[in-house]
Amino acid sequence: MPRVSGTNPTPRPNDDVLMVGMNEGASHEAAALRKRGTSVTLVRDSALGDDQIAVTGADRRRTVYDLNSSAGVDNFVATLGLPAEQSTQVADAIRSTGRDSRDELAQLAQVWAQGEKGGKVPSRVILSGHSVGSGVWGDNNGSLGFDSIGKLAAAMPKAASQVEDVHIAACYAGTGDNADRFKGMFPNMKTFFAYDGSAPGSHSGATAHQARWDAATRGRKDDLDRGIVAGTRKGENAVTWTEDGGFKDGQPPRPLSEVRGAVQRRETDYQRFLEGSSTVSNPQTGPLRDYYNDLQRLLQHPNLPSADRPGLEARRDQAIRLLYYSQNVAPKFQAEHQAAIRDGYSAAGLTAPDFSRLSRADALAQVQAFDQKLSELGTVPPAAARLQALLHSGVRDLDRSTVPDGWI
Amino acid sequence: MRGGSCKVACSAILVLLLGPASSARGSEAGSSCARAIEQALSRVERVPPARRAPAALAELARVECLGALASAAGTSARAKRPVRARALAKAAAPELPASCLAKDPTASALTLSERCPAPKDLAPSRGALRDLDAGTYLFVLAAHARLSASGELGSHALQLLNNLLLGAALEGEAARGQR
Repeated sequence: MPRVSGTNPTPRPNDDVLMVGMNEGASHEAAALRKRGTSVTLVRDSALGDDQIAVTGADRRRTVYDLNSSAGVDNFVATLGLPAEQSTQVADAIRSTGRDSRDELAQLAQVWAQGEKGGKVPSRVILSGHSVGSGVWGDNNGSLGFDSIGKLAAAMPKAASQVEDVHIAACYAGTGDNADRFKGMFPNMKTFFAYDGSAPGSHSGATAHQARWDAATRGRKDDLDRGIVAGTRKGENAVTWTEDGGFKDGQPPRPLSEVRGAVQRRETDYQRFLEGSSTVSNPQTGPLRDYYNDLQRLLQHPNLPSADRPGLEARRDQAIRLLYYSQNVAPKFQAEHQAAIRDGYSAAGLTAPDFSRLSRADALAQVQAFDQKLSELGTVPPAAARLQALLHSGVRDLDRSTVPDGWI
Repeated sequence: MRGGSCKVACSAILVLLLGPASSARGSEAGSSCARAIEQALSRVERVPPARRAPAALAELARVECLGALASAAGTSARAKRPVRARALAKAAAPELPASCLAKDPTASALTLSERCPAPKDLAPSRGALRDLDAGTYLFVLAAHARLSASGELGSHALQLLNNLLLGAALEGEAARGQR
């Protein structure tokens, strides 16, 4: 899918790195990257104690917040200067993680808060620590689940949308599911780099891998070859994911029929979401996200006939818009076309609804009622005809011509 | 764990039937259990990841609230990998549903995990399951179930079990490389 180009200008992507280091060795990894001239923001275990974080206010007073308590989390989040509803979501995300990893997640929230306020955040992220697949932990430190990072990303979507490259410097986290999971968190993610087996340690190869990853993901490249670490210690365990190339772990791709079958099995689910009888509770996970991921895998399959591609691409573009329908698409459609909606409904003699507040099912019912009304009119007023086309394209069909990538 | 076990479920029901006094005693026992787990985790994480499986088992042997699982952990900690896998699977069996019985505890846990999935808060990846032996996998599931039923499954416990999974998977990967 093409890169998102928002209607609201967002900072340009950059080559800075945000490293969440759960082990002490992350300092060594960050130092090695900095020696290469890379700007690294290192999030690490708090020196103040388990889940303690210090914030210096505008009055230069330093306050330490205890994130073990719910009130401590709320008071810390208040220092980020975000709207109340968003603050609640950020606090919930921090509370979702366990002992001694709230300090790391809170520091991540501090970095990403800049992005929420229009500033830039590092476009590249490294998660460094131990793993068996669903999070990263550190020795004498806590465990940061990928789900909790996802919750924070969902609470801070402007920052999350700036992330393009993710590297999990930990064992066993290099799976297709994790690549999909991080793509769900970071909609503009272009590359994912991790390990299907053991990963090199901080002092036994990680810095060499990170240097090659750093070089390979600089600039706005969309490609990342797992061969960049070929011949190095643990290089054989590297896996990559890219938007166009999909997941690569050195194994032969699954048979095309199997990948196509996975998409076909979810078709009924998909239609339920399209007609609004099923709703999306979280765009990052769930049956519609699974369908989207399966579609992506099919499109990335090397044996997919080119004749199949246009139809599947159109379906993929519709599916991603459906995933974000309530969260982004409907509110932006309403804001962008407010005048056309008002004029069209007025011309048809109807009261205009607010599409930003309607469920998808209710929005589709409104479109159907509008169609019915126009069919009963002898002559369709031009403003109503224009709106009808807009409603079909933007609400019913979620067509890319009306719902630009930047709305997602 | 999905399905749970009769033994674990019965323990939970017994606590409910016996009422608050018993629960309070359980809580006190839980506190010492929690402390034992925290200390075990601290010691295990001083050991390099590739050697954490025997270290974690040796430490779990001191966690009395694991009951018979603790004894099995202690006796198998120093055993060779195949012997250890069989012993751990045997100890885990009474705690787990029938779908979790392993014909060959020394085999990869990957196939077994399809009919005996790990709980969501552990969820080792396919790569980790491929490298893990089924015996250690089942032992971790049994320990998870027992600690969960006794209200002792905190973040230290989960991290300790994850360290055991990681260490055992790394052993499996090394063994795979030698074949």
